[in-house]
Amino acid sequence: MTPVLEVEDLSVDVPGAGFLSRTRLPVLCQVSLRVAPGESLALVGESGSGKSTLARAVMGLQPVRAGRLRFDGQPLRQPADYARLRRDAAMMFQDATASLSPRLTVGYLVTEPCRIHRRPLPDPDRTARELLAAVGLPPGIALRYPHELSGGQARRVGVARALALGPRLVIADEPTAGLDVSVQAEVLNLLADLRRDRGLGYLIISHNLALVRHVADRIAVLYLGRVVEEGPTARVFAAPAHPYTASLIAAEPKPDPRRRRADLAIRGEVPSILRRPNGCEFHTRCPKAQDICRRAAPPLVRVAPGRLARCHLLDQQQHHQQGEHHAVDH
Amino acid sequence: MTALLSVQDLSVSYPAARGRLQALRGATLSVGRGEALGIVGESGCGKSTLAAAMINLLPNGARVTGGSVRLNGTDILQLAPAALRTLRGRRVAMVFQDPMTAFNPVLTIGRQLADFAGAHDAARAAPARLAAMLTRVGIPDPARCLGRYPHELSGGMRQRVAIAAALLTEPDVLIADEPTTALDVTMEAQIIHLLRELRASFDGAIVIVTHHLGVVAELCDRVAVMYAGEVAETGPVDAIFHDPRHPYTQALLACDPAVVDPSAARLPTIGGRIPDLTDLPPGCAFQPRCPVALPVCRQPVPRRAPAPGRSVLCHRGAR
Repeated sequence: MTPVLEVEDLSVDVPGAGFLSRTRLPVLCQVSLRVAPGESLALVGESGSGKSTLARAVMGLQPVRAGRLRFDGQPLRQPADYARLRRDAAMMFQDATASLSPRLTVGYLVTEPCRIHRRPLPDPDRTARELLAAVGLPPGIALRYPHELSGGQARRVGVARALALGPRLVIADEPTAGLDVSVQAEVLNLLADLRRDRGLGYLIISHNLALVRHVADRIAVLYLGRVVEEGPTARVFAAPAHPYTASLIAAEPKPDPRRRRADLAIRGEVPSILRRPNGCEFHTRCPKAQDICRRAAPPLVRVAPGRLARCHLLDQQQHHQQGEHHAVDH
Repeated sequence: MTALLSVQDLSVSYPAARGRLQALRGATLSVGRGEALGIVGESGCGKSTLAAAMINLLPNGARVTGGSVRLNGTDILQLAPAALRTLRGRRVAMVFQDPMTAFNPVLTIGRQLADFAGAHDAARAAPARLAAMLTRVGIPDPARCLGRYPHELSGGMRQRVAIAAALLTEPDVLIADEPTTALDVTMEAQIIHLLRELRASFDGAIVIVTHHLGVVAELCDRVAVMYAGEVAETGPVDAIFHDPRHPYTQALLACDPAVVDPSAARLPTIGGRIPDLTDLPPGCAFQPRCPVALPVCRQPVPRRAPAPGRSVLCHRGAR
């Protein structure tokens, strides 16, 4: 099946400090990902790992230095390609309330994508009611303004707007940030229902691992703009191949006082892109770092069918796992 | 253990378009020296109002309609403005969710820490003391940090500096309102670890206000679960997480994605909405959403003590 979204060797850089600086700082380095129709891929990593930059690059909101993007098998190159992409792929923004214009009613906001893309809109009120019903909101809410909505309602309006043009892919940036747990569960159930009923593909960007575990089929872990691990969510959580993934999972606070962590899973924070470490970029925080990690950058290798990881120490950690290691890039 | 800070039957209301919004209704809890108390609940449950009342920092328009907040026996809600200045910062210090807005952007960290520390006693503002406190909260290069501006620090570093600022005044009570909500999971774990380490050397009480059950489980000795302005349930953290008695506590714990089996097709939800705080239902506030509500739940709810140190606001809670 043709992937709905294909990202191949995508690199993005930004100008270095200083007005006349010629240096470019890499933010994303040769990132490759694919999302099959109806599949949900989660992109996880700390702040500064490049996950939001990747989403912006896919939507054509961020100039890329190198790499190929394909949507539904068609390459994205010209502005016209991106116009098509924005019709068939929708973005859900992190701050749902801020992404809604405060002077427009909810009814107008959810039909706005149709107006922008000049879709025929014979009965806007009816379309608005249908979209609101699809996300579980009562029709009366169409007359309200964004400031009159609760956080969960604003998030649902954001989903309704994303659905307006019948997309095949939804890019969701922290879809439940700032929501209470019970409301978060409702939004996640809604996303799951829409995926089942409409065959939507999702690219979900989140640092919330508990959420990712529930909504993603596959997970890609980014560190300093590189994919360090990728694979099916259940298997990655059961046995993370990369020490960074293991640290992220261990760092999550457990809602059980009997399972408190005595030690720290991970120290420090992501280094600045101004000072990328040599060798493996994670070695400065890695609990298992050895000499080779400081000298040479490890390649992304296949550690099991459908699983990739970028670590020198895979042989020692994964000795129990079957399957050959193939280098897939350098 | 005698309570260092105790909130008795506190009721607070805010003006609303129709009538008054009952943000807190008879909230009662206490925290002792060396103890960490978690206050947990969803938006609109009154947890931030309760935290603000603990330092007598309620917003304009808020009216205390009953109850008291006692620090070492003194009702801080009755203090004169001059006494309040000594209380805030010196006796009770607060760490806010977003440390960026807690600092002045045009002054260096060192200058601001000196201001906090020296407000009551100039000798406490010595640079060596400031640097030592930064080291204690895990800032790697404290001398350099003192010369920096808030925007030059990452979110996690700013939160560490905010904790250092709070501790510099040697408070009796440290209140942290959503201290890790704005941070990455890795930094959240480090701040939790830091607060836990500080507890060993900090003789006062720590109050953590959060919507994140995981933070409470990792950090606190006791927990108070709030719903619609009331303390629905309170008790030792292990008892509340492993033997919750209030149906709201049970529902809240059940819908945390961190505990739900990942293979489950759907996540549990609570259903319904929190009640309108200007027009509360009769009897138990949770009863319209409660899966096990009885006719008696429309009557005023007694507070019961199912075990020593525990209390639950539920008609069925004594089981």
